[in-house]
Amino acid sequence: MLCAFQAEAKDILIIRGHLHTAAEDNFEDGLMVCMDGLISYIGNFNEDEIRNLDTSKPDVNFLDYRGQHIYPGLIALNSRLGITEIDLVRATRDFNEVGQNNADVRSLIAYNTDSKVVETVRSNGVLMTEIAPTGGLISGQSSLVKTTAWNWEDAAIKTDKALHLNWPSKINHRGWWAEPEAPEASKNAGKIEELKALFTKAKLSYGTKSETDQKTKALWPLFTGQRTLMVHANAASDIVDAVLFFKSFEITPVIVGCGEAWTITSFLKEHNVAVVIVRTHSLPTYNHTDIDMPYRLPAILSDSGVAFAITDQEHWQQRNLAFQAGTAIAYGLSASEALKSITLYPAKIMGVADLYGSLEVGKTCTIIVSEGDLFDMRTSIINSAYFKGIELDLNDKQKDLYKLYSERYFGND
Amino acid sequence: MIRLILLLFIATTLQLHAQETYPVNGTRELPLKEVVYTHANVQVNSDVLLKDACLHVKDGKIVGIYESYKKLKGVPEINLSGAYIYPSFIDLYSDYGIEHSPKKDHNKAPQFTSDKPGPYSWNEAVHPETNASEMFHSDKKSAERYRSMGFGLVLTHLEDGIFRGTGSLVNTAEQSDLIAMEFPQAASAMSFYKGSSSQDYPRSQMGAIALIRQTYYDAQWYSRQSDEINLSLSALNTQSKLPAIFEIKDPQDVFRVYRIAEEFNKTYIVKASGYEYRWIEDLEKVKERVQFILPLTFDKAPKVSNPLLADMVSTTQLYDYYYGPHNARIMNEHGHTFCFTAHGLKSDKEFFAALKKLKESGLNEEAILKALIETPAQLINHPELAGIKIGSTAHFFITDGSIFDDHVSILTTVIKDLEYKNTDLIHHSIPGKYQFSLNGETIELDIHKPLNKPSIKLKTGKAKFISLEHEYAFVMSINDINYQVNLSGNQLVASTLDNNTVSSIVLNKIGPVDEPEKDTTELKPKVLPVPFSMDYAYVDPSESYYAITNVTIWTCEKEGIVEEGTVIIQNGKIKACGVNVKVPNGAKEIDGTGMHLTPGIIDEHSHIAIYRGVNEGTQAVTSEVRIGDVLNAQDINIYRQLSGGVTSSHLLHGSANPIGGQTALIKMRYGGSALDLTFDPDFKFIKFALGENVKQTNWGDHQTVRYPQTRMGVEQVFVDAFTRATSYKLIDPEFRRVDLELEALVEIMESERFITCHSYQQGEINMLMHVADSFGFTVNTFTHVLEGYKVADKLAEHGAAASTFADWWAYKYEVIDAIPYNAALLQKSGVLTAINSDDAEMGRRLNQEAAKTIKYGGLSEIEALKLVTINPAKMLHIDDRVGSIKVGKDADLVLWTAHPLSLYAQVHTTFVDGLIYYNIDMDRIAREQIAKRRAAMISGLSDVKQTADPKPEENRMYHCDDNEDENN
Repeated sequence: MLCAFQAEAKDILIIRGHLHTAAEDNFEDGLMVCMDGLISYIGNFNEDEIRNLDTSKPDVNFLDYRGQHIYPGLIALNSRLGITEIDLVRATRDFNEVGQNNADVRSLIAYNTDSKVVETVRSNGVLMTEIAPTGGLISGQSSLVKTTAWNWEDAAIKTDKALHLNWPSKINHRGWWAEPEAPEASKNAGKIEELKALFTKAKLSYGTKSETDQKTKALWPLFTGQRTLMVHANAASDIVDAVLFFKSFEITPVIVGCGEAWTITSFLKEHNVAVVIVRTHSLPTYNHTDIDMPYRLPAILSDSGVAFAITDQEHWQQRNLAFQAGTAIAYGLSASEALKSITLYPAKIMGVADLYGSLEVGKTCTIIVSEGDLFDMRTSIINSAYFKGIELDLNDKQKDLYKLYSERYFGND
Repeated sequence: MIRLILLLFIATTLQLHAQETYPVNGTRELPLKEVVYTHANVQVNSDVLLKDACLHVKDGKIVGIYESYKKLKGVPEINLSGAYIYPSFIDLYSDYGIEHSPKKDHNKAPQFTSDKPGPYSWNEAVHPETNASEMFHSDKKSAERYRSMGFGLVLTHLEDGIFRGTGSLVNTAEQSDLIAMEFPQAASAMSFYKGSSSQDYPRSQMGAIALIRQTYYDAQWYSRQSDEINLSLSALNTQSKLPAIFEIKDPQDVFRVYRIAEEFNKTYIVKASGYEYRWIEDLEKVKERVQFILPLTFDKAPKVSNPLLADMVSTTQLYDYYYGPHNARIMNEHGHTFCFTAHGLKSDKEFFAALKKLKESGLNEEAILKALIETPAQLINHPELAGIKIGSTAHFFITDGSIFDDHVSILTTVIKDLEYKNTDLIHHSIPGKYQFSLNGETIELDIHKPLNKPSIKLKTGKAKFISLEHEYAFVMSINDINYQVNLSGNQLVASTLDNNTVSSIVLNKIGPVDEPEKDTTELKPKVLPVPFSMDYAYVDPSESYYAITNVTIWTCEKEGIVEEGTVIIQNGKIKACGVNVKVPNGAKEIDGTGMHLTPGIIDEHSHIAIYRGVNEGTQAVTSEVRIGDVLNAQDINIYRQLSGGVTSSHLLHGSANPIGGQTALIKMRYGGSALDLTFDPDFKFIKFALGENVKQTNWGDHQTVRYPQTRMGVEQVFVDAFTRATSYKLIDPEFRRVDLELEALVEIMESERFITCHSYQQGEINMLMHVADSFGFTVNTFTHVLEGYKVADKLAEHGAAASTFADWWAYKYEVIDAIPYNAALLQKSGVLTAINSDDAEMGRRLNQEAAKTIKYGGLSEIEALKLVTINPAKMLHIDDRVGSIKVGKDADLVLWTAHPLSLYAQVHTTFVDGLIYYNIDMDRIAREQIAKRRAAMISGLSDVKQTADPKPEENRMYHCDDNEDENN
């Protein structure tokens, strides 16, 4: 039944193992029953529950993962998976369109389901990802996709769900991602005026019969909440500016990045703003900033009641998603919140929490199985994964090369 | 008693007015040949002020100084009525009267050698043949500006390039260049900046330093040979005896200059940054070889009023604002020799304001004057220029008060027999007490300096000041009649107009205004709000005896893991390690219950703490450049690495060219200067690189000229370089021109210097091993080596080590086959293997990166930890000192709160040389202190005009690929 691309699950899965549900309770010796890809039972292991099932059917599978850890499939937000393969090979770059306003472009149709990079991320438990365009003022629309699929239509879980926007910062960020330099003041007032004009035009034209361009139309679903506005901003003053700006258009954005969120937690909570933290493995913004501030940020937000999710960055790096959340545990976040920050909370932001993101009755059986603690690299070895009850192929190009050269040097052992 | 101090000098017919050879158009005009200034306060030198004295000048020479009034028969007398005479100030750092060559249009393709015609240096930034005297042209506007600040003598040079040639001492007379020129070649000048040169090399500061060193060696060679004519080297040799002025911009540059001075047995007069206070303790070391020219430009207050943006202002910027004006005072207290420069000041107002700030900082008037009068003269070996002495040339200026008073103005500057009145200050004699009678009334009028607010006293009736019309005319009203009051000849006249009739009243000056009671208490120096401290630098060198008890010890030796053991640290070394170790008296016990102790992490590949450029990269071979020349000890990333348990980092040149620069190994001795960071002065490694970066694959369409552009060319670069080095080696060292590039390559061939080579694909890795074999040396380390697993057997056979990433890939084409199992495969194949960071952020999580090899490839925990401790130590040939916990080794240790390979582990304490440079509790205290210091400094700015934009921190962070030109 190892079939990564099968369309529908027909089987009944009876799964036993340590269940980390990202819901109310976790079950150390847990039992989960899934029928046609949906969870029908979850709780402590219980013989009666199995007895009640008609286990004589040929499509009933017992999956005994005792001693192993079962988690909801991970969701990597704001990634470039499948829309770039090798960043420095221009031919493989499909994430940054020319121009400032690309509200109409959609990452979904550029998604390369055959990417060799995506499979290495999947094999570390990332079963879904939001693929997001970058660049310009308005980068374009993202979709939530599966990391295993025949084609982009098959991959789509939530099409064109979010619109990504780069807030024109008061601060000019310099350097590159792993090695940011000290920022300097910039003058971006003109760009904010530009945004104001775009959103005013969209607001005025929304609901009218006036002929409108597709870039403007792409903003309309933001007013109904059908589409989520993901605003990229890091500095406290920029976040405040952005939230208040969009409030005037009755839009509550999700802030992506949000490195200085710790200075404005009450504000974020008051305005009901959710945050996508991009990498806890970051350097502090300023020399004098607490050296562990990026590590502590999730715990600070959690303690302050600010909704947040955690992601890694770009494409291949997303295979370390679990460790980004793990670091937050080491610095004060509870393990269950850490799990939710890469499963349930991203699912909520993407509007798919009815079916994904946690292990609860009625949701899909979208799970990963780890030999040990998912969050610690020593033990985070993903053995199996299921999407809607269908087992996924966790092999990847790198494992193949490892096997090939192991055999070459050390023979078959 | 009138006492003649000295009158030896008899005026002769000597004509000082040095323009004898010039024809005169029309009839001659001569200045007053002889004059005596009386009732003057004469500052004869920085220590001595003669009150109410006389100064006798004849034919541009000082011929007499008298401590009290003396009538000299037949000599015109100018009564200065209490004005001050100061000896001319001397500014050693200026480009007065020198026109800069404009920056050339740089075509975007690289330029490898100089465009300058003639037998000159290969490098356009090396032009010691430049003579300021040949370019100098006196300029009225600048001369006036200098005179308005008291500078009668200025050392001017072409402020451009690295070797800038000679500077001339000129005076600030403006009639003619002949009169202005005092000493055509008074000093030589240098900098680290290539300026208008359009040549690519040097692109980095380390390149500039290498160029300076190579040029000095070339000059030595030049003097021994006769085959080649090189006018640059010839000029450099000629000027080697002149005082050398070295412009720097960063306070740590002083240490870089010092290293050059040591190597070539030189002394330099450093035009400094003005922030020397930051390194004041360490500057003690450079005193013998470095003297200073300090700027008087002080930082403006940073903008901190927006609470959402105040964090952008760095702590350093706040300190610089407060400490800048104290810099000279602190330098003085530490016994440094310094003078001041007006370089960067826009006006006399700024200059006098700066002097006032210096005084407020607690620097006394004598010290300030000394730095403007005697010190600059001594520094250029012309002590005769300093002060007012009988027999010396007249270089002085007259002010209407002490230069430390408010509103002081320079009235006249005397240069030889020329006199320059400050034309803006024609009104200088106006302030005073006046009396006049009007309609039988006696009216008293006080006119204060500046002239904006006269107070008018009337016995009866009413009078008031109406407005200032311009600087020497104002309007006042007496009994409702308005009068214009202005200077008319030597007197003040009040005039009014009524019915076509002008009526005027002459105002008689009866004395100075009644000064308000002067505060006689000593001026209290402005107190600095907080003591200076680098953020998070809290090491206490006096605490160096520790016992860490009940701790799980990961020895990385054959003993493996020792449970519940004790480690004793004393005087920087590991004294004892084991289970039955007693805690000695005097040792401070650290209870390690539940914690783990490991060797300090060693990062084989890092680019932190590097100043102005990680890549020279302008030539295929740059083995002459050294990262060790450009260490930045103030980089916060040193501390951040400590917080992740890193105790040593191998700082590499970037990967822009096949043979890069010499690397530096540092210990994280955060808080000290660059001189303290070095692990071992004899450490000799060099960075090589292969693949896309050296081919300039990703540098854009203009970078298609520099060889090599293919992997084929890369091989031949190595073959050519080592062939040249082989020939070089054969020349008798006594006769050969020291070639720093080839010296390093010879060291490689003689196994004295070791390679760490940036590499990705198996083909190029294999290639370099073949090249090495053919020249008889071993490639010590391949770094990155992401396809190393494909040639693990070959690496093992060659004896090369591998230092790799845990899981990086897909960022460029040549890493398309990178796999996270690489380290495990290499390790299992018998290759000495390490995990490195190449990244300031990842560097502080190297224990976690090592742990990934357990997940990818199934290494044991001990094997995994060794990837970041003893293995890199072996690779760097320092395993006799660090890398494991063994008695006698350096106490570079990390105490972890949990299993050291677990993501949940935090560093509790990091020891370097047995000192605590990071501790989890001390870090929390430091945070609070930083917050308090910042708050104190920020609150001190609330009443100050804040105009400075937040300034970036000085620690640029680098990655191998960074290759922008930072050396303009």
